[in-house]
Amino acid sequence: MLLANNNYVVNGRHDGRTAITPVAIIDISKREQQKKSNKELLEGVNPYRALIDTGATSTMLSNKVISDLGLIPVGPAKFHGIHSVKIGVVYLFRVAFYGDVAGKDLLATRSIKTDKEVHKIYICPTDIEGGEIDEQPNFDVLLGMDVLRTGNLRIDKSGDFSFSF
Amino acid sequence: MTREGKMAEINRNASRFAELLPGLLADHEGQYVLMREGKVVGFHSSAMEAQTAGNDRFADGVFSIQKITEEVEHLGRYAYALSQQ
Repeated sequence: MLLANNNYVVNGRHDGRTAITPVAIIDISKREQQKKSNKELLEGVNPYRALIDTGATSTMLSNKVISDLGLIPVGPAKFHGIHSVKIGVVYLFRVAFYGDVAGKDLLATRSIKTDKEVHKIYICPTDIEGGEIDEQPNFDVLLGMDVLRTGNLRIDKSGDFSFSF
Repeated sequence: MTREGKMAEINRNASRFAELLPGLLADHEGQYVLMREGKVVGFHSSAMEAQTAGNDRFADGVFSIQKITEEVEHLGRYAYALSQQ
């Protein structure tokens, strides 16, 4: 499904309870140095399972993602825990989506090579300061409103969902 | 810089930031502060700008950035999953 005035759309299926889509996480904490050295920003990028969650204000990464990518925290932030406000750390990154590409403005799309194949991805052009959550059985990334507000999210009663930019 | 070293710097700066926050809110709310060794180094309009300034100025990576705000992030139903630092 492609919505008017959007160049990129992520399609998926939800089960009536959750909607999960593959994403890549790109470390940008040293972006300027990477530009100077011409080091490929997408080196080592692999897909993770992201749970779409409009109830989360911030995108969160599991311990596994942080460990896999060797992310270093950049500073603290406050998060609501179950019973109290807690101080956690945040990481600087961007979220990239795997999906269909349409239209002519493909500047934001890149090709990445994972262990198995080459994918086209769309890098959401918003710098995200996201926190850390414990490893979860069903997802690796909690995709919060800081990312979701940058596009158009549609949950369909047929069991489809789409997220377009 | 190791993760442990970075965490130590973040914790040190976070304690000082908490003391400074009431004063910072008046003139810098919504901006990002760059801190090193418990001292304010500068103010920036975005996290990425602050991070880049820190990378350029401190090659050892010993600094932290923090948004000047009283807002708290919510995780909704997954609040239980918040990692314990």
